[in-house]
Amino acid sequence: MTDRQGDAVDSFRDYLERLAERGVCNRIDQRISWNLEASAVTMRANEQDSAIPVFEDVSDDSSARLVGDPYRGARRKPWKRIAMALGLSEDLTTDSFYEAVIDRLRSPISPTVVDSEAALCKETVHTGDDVDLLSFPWPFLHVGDGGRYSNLHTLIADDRDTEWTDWSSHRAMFHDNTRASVLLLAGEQTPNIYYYKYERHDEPMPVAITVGAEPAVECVSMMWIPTGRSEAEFAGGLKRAPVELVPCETNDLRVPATAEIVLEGRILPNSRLDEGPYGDYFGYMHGPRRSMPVLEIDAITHRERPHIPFTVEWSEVGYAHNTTSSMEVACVGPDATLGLRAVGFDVEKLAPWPFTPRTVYVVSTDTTNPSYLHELANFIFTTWGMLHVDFFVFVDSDVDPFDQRAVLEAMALYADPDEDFHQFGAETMPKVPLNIYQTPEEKGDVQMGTSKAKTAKTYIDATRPEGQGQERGFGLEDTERRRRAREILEAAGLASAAAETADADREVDE
Amino acid sequence: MTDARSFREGVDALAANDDLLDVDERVSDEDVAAVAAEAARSNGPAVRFTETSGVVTPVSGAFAGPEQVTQSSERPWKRIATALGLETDASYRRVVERVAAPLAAATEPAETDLLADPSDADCYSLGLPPLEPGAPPAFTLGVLAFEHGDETRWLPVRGSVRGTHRVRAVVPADSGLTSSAEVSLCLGVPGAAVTNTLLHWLDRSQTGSIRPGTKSDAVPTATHEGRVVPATSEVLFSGRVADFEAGSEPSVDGGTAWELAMETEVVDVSVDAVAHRESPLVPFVPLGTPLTDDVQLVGITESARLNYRVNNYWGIEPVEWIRLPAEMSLGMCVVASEILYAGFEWQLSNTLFAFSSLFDKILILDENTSAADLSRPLDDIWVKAHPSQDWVFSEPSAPAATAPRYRTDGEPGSRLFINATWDPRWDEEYIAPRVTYETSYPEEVRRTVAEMWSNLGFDSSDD
Repeated sequence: MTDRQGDAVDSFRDYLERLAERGVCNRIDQRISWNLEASAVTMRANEQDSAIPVFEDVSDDSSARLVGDPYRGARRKPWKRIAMALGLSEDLTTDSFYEAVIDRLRSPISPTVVDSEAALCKETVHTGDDVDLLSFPWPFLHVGDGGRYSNLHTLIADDRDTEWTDWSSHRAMFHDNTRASVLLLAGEQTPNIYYYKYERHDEPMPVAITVGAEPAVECVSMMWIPTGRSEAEFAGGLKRAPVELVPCETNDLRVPATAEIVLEGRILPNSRLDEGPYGDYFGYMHGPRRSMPVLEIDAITHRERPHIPFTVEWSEVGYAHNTTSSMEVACVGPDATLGLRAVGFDVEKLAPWPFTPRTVYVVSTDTTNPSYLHELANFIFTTWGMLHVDFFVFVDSDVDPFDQRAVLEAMALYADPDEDFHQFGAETMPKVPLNIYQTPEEKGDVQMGTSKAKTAKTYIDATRPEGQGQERGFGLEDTERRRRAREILEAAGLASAAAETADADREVDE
Repeated sequence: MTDARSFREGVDALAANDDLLDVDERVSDEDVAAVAAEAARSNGPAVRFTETSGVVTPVSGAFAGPEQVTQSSERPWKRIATALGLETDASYRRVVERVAAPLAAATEPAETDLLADPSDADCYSLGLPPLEPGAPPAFTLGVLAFEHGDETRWLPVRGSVRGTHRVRAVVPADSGLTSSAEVSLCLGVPGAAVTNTLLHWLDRSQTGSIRPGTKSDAVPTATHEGRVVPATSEVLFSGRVADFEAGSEPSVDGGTAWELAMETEVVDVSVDAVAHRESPLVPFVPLGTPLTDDVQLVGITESARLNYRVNNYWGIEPVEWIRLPAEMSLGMCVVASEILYAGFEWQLSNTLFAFSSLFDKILILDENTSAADLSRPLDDIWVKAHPSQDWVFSEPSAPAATAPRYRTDGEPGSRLFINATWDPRWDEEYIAPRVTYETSYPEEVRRTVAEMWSNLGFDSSDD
């Protein structure tokens, strides 16, 4: 099956058009307030797997528009809309989608730089006294939140000591016309650069936050791109075309030229503002309210009537998807799979746990001996995103890590409590304070965004004993009889939707 | 008094609920298992095979249910609810209470006439499908009735046809069944007959109790060859135990789920006569396939039994619900309970381990967690339980659990309980509020959204 179905979109706005062409973009002209209403509507849309809401009218004071969870995938295919954005077929199987993304990441394409006149994000430019963060309708997402947020964007920062530019995603809570607090959790790349380089030298870190950048950019900012590698090149690889960058107005950074909004500024050293509480991705309102670094805004550029995409965190907990969970599947999954293969691990697929983003991942692998799994787990837990992640579950390569029933069955039947649950020490490992199982005292002073008390990381070996085959009932290997059985069922009227099975089974048809 | 629904009435109710697929195409006996397995794998409806080689009409999935891991609106217990005479959208609690009813109170069945008539059919001409190509015709989810003292005892039974007048049966060991005993093998019995019988033998084999009995007012009875049997049985074989050392009864993937919970023995029955109702319906289970009838039935019945036992153990009823999800093939027990005091979670989990040999893993949830939403436990297990403090492993000296397959040598092993509850010693301010639609948006906002929702232009998903 070919993965080439068309060109990737070049802008967020084009992406919305592509959604509209497929009838899955709901432009709402009715006034919906940025103050909880837009979030509530988005939550309901997420729950019902409905079209993506575009709120055309959210404020008397701004012509900007809100877009609720624009990358939320379909319930059974979370990667579907990201595939569409990248010009990939929406009918791919999980395996085919993964391999298509991996293939593209293996072929980076350098960005091009355009003049400001050619950059859509420069249609309007605000600098100096003209800067007013609160002139934009940033959404207030949950009634218990500490403030209004931008939570679906790409934060761009240069490494202080090298030529490397990091793209990442760190939410920002707005405090006044020019200031925001940014959630920077030590252990991740950009926070490390800030805490251990810029701040140690008492220097501000120049940053740009691009809101509504093109999908390939958003995807890469979610990925675990290795330090020193060009994120822009990977984005180019993903879209099979160069990403257009444009210089900022007030610093030396370059930003995606088609972004809806660009916030240029500096994250100040040794300066903090409150951040949170926040209804977060694991379904609980965690605390306590933290002190986080201060972003001072120097310039704002934007397109006319810009779109502000946002995600309703916590709505992905359970059965529904949102942008976060969909991007975990569509971006982090293939990227991490590629990363593990690149360093020599025999990994079939890495899949995020669908009910709890960023906390647990399932990895299928052909090689299942204990020392190999220990090495694999040990390697993963040392990487930069792992302060969020507490668990990995390993399953055999013939178990689809996206087939949650099969994964649960493997855990229940093949994970021996005596031998297959492995912790790297009882309490030896770091943890971000975004958790609910530690007391406030254990979280302690979170100046660096890590908990005072250490925790454990665990991997679960849910692979079968050596030589034990997969027991899933009669006829699993009898593909001809299975095909005939399906024909009988479909002839009898079994709905095609009901006939959908896990990818592992669907390979029968391919 | 319950709605005493026969197997046939249960299947009719599934049809009325649009949860039954009639396969009118002629399906060879050797293809029935494959079709039934595909329907189960596809989360499809129950399947009735109206055109087969013999007398019987096999029905697969009559007690099964769809997986709930990815389907929020599904209730895996819905067909068992239907079979028991409950509404199809009955809550989990209601189904569990119905299944556990014989534990709470003994009720007497109504005595009526047997609906099956004598037949010229023999064991082969009935047309029972095999579990796999080349295997003998098989039966599952039956009840074997025999006289024991002054009562008729019912056993869960599965087996296969071994001759024109001979069947081989797997039954619980030490059941009181003796060589040459006269027996009635009943197929197509009411759902309540199956759950009552399972309840009795699960409890007896794991706690030694002889309560509850297998009979209740949910299953009208009749006399067949001097033995008390479910009056609405679709097919009855009558005969005698011919061989108590019949050898093995091969099975796909270990047999039926109830066999995981107890020792079994294999007996051959010499069949003297066959009786059946007109166009008899019999359940057919494609053993080993995920989410099949037997797994759902044992999951619900064992949950009901455990729920009753633990809530009648400490003099109070702390447990809200217990589930052995079929999705986890009975290897894990999920329980929602009030945590009465620090350490109660240990007592609770070890009580459950003591009462059931099936599982070696328990997930404990707070009492306000819904039994109808499997996704919340699958979130809480990772985010609420401290990875090093709340994953509690026993010494590797516990009796081996029977559902897991990582070790089959019977050697002792460890048990695990995961405490995904709030520590009762924590100050209230430590407790992170659960984020929900209701807690995230004031009533006024929710009302506004509800009022304008129909005008916002949301259509159904593109999928």
